[in-house]
Amino acid sequence: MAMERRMWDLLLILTAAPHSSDVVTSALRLSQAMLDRGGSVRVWACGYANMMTQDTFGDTKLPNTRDPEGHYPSPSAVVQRMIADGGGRFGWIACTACSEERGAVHHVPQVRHRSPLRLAATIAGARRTLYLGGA
Amino acid sequence: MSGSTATKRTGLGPPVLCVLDRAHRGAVEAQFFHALYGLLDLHGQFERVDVALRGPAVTLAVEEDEYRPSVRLGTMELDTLPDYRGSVRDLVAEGFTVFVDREAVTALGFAPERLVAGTVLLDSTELARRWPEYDQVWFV
Amino acid sequence: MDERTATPGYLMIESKGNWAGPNAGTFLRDAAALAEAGHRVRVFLVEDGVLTAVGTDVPEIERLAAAGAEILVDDFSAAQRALSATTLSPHVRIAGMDAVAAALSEDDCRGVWH
Repeated sequence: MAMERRMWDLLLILTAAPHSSDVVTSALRLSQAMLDRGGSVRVWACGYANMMTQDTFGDTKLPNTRDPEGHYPSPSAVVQRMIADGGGRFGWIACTACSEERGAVHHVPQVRHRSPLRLAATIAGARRTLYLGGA
Repeated sequence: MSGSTATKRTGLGPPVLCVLDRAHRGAVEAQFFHALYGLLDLHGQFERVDVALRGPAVTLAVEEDEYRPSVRLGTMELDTLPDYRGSVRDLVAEGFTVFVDREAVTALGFAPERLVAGTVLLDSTELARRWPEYDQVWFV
Repeated sequence: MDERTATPGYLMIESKGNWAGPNAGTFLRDAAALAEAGHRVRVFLVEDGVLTAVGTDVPEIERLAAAGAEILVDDFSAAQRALSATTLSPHVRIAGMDAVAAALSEDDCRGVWH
């Protein structure tokens, strides 16, 4: 008997760099909106979006000199938190080629690694795919 | 949060005009670490730093009371998103001249009196004529 | 799922808008062309794209409205840019990301992000 492949409701292919525009924020807001309606969403990080999940960040951002006691979660901490809170309905994939191309290969352990050769198959595993360009 | 740790000025660097014509570069990933924070943080090193907001960036200087610098992601309420208008108020309070491009404000339909108090509405041409007052003009 | 339906609906998400440069209106003209060809088109303006909704005489917005497209403006992006202090086109309405998630959950809605 063939194994039934899990179908995700939404795949976001995120290619734009963090800190370039608010595209990462929009992607995470859309992900949360999908989760809020009971759906499942996966992010495939391309290009410099792979910087978001580097384990070199630690849990917090650098100190805010104007608010030294403030708590500011790092990008990787934000992604890890969403994965933990998602109950299996939120996932994050790091493209191995893009990661290697940019020397961004030290991802947090919650991130899955996939070769770009598996992109089509990953798209096939989602009911809907949205490509967020801007790399 | 803002204003409590204003940078002590040493004033050794040259006068600089920083032009910002692109805003909103990463709310979740940047949080406090956005361009205006960078200017506030570097201020003390320079003799004079002024800021010009152009194009879409003029919206950073428009007072409003709807935006909340907060987003819910998972069970986390991330309430440390950039407070750009707060930073514009801080810039004014800490002695920066903040120019706001008149053409963009007009094109976007904002009334001049809606701008953050202390900012200076200025035509692009008049701003360009002031460039000689600065050793450096940086498009940030 | 087979996406090749005869007249799929489109959710066109514009994050740049008419302040982005000389070709800024092209994506919205794509949306209008699809609407004029009979597709159900919803436009969601987000990030700087919300600036396209300012004013009452933006050609791309007028054409979309005439073609029957629904035009939504992201509430978070609009608040970030203080758009409550200016006038938006009468053809748009404010909406949240939940509207995008709902549209992308429909069987015949394809999402395209610019």
